[in-house]
Amino acid sequence: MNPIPLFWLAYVLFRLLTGAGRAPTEKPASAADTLRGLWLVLSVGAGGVAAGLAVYRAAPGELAALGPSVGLALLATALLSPWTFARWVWIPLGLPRVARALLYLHPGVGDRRDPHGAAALAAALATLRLRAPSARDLAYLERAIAACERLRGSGVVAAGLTAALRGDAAATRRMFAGLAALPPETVPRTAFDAAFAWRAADLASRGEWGELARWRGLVDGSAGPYALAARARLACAVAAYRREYDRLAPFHVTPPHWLPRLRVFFRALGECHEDLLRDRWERIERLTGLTLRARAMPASVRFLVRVAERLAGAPTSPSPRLLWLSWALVPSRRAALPLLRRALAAEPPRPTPPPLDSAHPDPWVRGLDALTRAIAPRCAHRAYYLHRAARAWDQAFTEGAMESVAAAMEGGHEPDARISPALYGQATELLANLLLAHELPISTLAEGGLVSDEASELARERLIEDVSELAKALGGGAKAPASAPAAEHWAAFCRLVQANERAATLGGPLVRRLVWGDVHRGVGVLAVDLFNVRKERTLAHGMFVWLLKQATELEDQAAITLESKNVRAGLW
Amino acid sequence: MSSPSDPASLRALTDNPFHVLGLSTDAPRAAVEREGRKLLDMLDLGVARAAEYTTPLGPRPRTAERVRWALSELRDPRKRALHEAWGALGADLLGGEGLEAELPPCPEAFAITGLGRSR
Repeated sequence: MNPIPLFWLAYVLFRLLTGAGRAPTEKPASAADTLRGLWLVLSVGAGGVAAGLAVYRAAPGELAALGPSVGLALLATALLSPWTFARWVWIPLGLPRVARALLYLHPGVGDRRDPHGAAALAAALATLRLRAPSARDLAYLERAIAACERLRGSGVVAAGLTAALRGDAAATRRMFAGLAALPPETVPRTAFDAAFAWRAADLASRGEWGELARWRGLVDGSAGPYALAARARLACAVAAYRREYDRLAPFHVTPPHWLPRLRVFFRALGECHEDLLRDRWERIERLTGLTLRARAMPASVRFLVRVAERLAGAPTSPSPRLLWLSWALVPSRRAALPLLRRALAAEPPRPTPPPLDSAHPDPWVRGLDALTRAIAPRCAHRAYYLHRAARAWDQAFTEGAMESVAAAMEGGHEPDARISPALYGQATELLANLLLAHELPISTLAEGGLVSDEASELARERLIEDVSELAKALGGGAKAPASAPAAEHWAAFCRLVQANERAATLGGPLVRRLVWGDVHRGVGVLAVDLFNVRKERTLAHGMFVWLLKQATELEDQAAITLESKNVRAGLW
Repeated sequence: MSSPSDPASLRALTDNPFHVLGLSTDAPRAAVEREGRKLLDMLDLGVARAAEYTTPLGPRPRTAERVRWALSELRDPRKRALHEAWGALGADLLGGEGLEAELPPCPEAFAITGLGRSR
């Protein structure tokens, strides 16, 4: 008996069944969408079955009769799984127009909520494979993104890749980092994987192996916020833990199609639901024992992370056998072979020597010595040396010394140049600039010295200024004409999120609180405009969720009430 | 002249007249004038080794304007004292202790992840 019809029938049933699964927050598909998809699946499925039966009835040994059946099966597979064909055929061949057209023609079976976005993403991925994309190719991509009626995950990733093709990698980094703010059910796996792979490749291409090695938790064993929140929410839904389910609403996650270990989860739920709201993911993971295996991550990303661990000499550095295995699973093995060889040949990095201190009696010279070491390009103890420089200059510029300078100037005498106000200004300015340029927290400098305090204040002012300017510009963006591309608003929001995170990391809770008013106002105005006027509800919802998370962490009750209402408005 | 990417406050390190002229902070007035004139002549003739000067933040391009500015700064005793304070921070002081290991980048990474062509 010819097995093709049976496989075919099983496949068609599988597509129909999996296509029926829908996140609880999603609005049902329109009747037209449903009919179109159903017609496509049934007609192609019925055609396949008919062809298969014809072959089944053919006389044994007539292999030529299998030809039409196999051909039809391939055609049906291409029609039923446009993404599969795009991924393996149109994208590697660098055919953006074909990839986009075929995905666009089949909204019933592709990404049902975002056919334009999925098509734009396929086109962007195919354009990346072109040897030298022309201005025409890029203009085509931008038209494809502009065709998205409502921008969602696929469209955002397509816009990010387009920015990378235009050479604006910084914008792509920001947009992909901001992807986490979108409701996960609006970011299909393909889009998420593409963004994740781009970020990994970007780090590797810049030699940031240490940063990439820290991804190990994401690709091997640990879950990350999305999967944990999804599991938690699913467990709450299953157990009718309504209160916890609602509390997890800000994360707006789609439960995956498999059950968590409920018994373990319920035992820990009571202890960790506050932690869920506060992003204490490590603690949740420990309490629940929930982990996500590496199977969901692209093999190429897993390979790059393992190479990074090896090159950076991480304690979890993989064995040569595991490296070979990871390489074998990478689709582009030929391109990956030189990197594999490099990783296999890597020697463990030498331990970094401890920092050195100058014993010079003059505090200004001691400060200069520490500063000299701090500004060395690959200094491993930069924070330590900047701290030492500031401490030394605190000793040089004491209040008593500054008063004597002022008295000397009033008396018409020449003050000591080493403690002149001009030098003091330059030293504080320099320390503040170096802190920010090297992304070091303000707390690196000790409190209680004239130079340290002044430099800290300058750095703090700059951080606040950066965030406030972006927030005001974002609020002003709401007044932009309705025709302004939604991707631009999203990119501006991602930029603000990044600046806000930087301010919070470097400046601490005080700076975070000081900028919150401007941030809330700016993002709020834009999100409301996107939701009410431009109907870009996915993007607006992502912004509301982000605002609610910030308000919860800062314990701003008025903002929590307001943003909870906005989040409850949902995606549609 | 400092690089356009140098923030204003880092110019105390990159635009120090002693670095621009390639002199130590204890150079006498006459030596400063002599070195300045020599550099101006070399720049005028297009001598390659005069086109750059070393700073604690790496080499920077040297121009005739920058040399003239350095000379004028060092003629003012008050300004000279200020520059002397920073001038001790020389490129030659940059030691090799406590440096992180440099790991070369991987330009093929985009091809490996299927997001670009192999070179």
